[in-house]
Amino acid sequence: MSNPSTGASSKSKVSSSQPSETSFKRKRGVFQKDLQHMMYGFGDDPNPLPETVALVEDIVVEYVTDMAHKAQDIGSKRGKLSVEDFLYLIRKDLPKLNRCTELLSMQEELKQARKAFEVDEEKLGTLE
Amino acid sequence: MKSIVSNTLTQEFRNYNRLYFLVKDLLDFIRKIYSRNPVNDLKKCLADEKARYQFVIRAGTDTEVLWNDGRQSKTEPVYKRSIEFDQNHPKRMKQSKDPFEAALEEQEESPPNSPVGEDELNSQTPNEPQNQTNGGHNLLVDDDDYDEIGPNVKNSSHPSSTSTCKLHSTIVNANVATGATTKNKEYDDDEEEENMEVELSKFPSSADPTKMAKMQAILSQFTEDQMSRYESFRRSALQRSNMRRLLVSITGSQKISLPMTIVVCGIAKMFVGELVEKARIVMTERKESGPIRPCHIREAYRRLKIEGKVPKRSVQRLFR
Repeated sequence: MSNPSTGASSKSKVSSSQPSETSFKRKRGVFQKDLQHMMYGFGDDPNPLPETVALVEDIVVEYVTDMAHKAQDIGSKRGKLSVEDFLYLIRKDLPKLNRCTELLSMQEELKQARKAFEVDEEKLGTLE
Repeated sequence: MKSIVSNTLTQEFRNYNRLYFLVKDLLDFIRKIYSRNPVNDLKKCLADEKARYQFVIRAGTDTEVLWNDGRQSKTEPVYKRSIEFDQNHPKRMKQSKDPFEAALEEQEESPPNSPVGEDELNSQTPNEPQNQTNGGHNLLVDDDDYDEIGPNVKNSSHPSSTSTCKLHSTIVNANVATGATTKNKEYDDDEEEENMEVELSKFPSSADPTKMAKMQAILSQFTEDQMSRYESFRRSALQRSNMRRLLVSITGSQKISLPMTIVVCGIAKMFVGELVEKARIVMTERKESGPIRPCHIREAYRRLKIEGKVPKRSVQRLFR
């Protein structure tokens, strides 16, 4: 199931995935900087150990991968992948579910506000 | 560790917010002026058949609006009023300043801030005795409205500081930020104070005043260390571009919508939180201290798996 390791640079790591058309190469430290801040925020040292960060990143990528695969399985029944599939996956986990709905509603509001702002600018322009 | 990530979607949004409401207020003000004087009157003012113009004289508490006729060198009064000093009216108590200027100052110093404030603004009816428009007079100066806009803005900005952003750009704040921002630019680090101000206004995701009050009470008691950690918590986020790239490579489909990226970033961040917190619990059980080590994370991950919070792979991974 895992893709054969292509003789890539020493920095790249091949993670297993579904047999997709392209082999998936993942560089280490994609989320490293953000993860450091995040781990500090959640309770770690202000300077977390690099190996810890690397491990957490691996775990997170694996987590996201598994979630995405599951969501795809669900989504394929309906046709295509959508946000609803992810929300369905975390339905049992209440804090996550609430957080996601909050994020989505906030994004809507921001979009509305931006649109309204542009509309007002137009009006201001036409008034002159 | 240096502070934080930029974010500032919040920052940017705050600026948008201010601008937006400033513009909106200006527009409302302009509309009020023009609505009071129907267009005909305005046209009559501007396109007087005798080509006159109007001017306003104010001396102390007396105001006069007059037509000025250049050809005849004589003025024709349009409107005249003296302001009675009304003891009961609260605004009039500080009669020292020109109310127009006072309103202008107030408006400048506290930019309109929140939707709540804005509603108050719109629902206010003119209550100033000064400058009443009588039917036939063609008044162009409208001090009333400006005056009422000013102080109202000021009043509304008190609660608004907390209620402004329900528009939690926490995401923006990068904390939980994964979401709202569509832009992923890195801004300069903000000052801590500014962050506090921004975060205080970020609270009401529920827009619940009691919760807000509680949050503020708690926040005010934070030590500097706690505050910095909390700031990191709020503002950190996984980069949406990276997440999007990861999702594309996983699913093989290019059509990853923005909400999906936002949701996945949020979920991932919470997962990191669960991991780190459980690792800390493991550490206290083992009576260890210092930075978290990989063994703690592995133990935490194992426990999460048992609890079922980690999606199980249908096929076992043999090679890692």
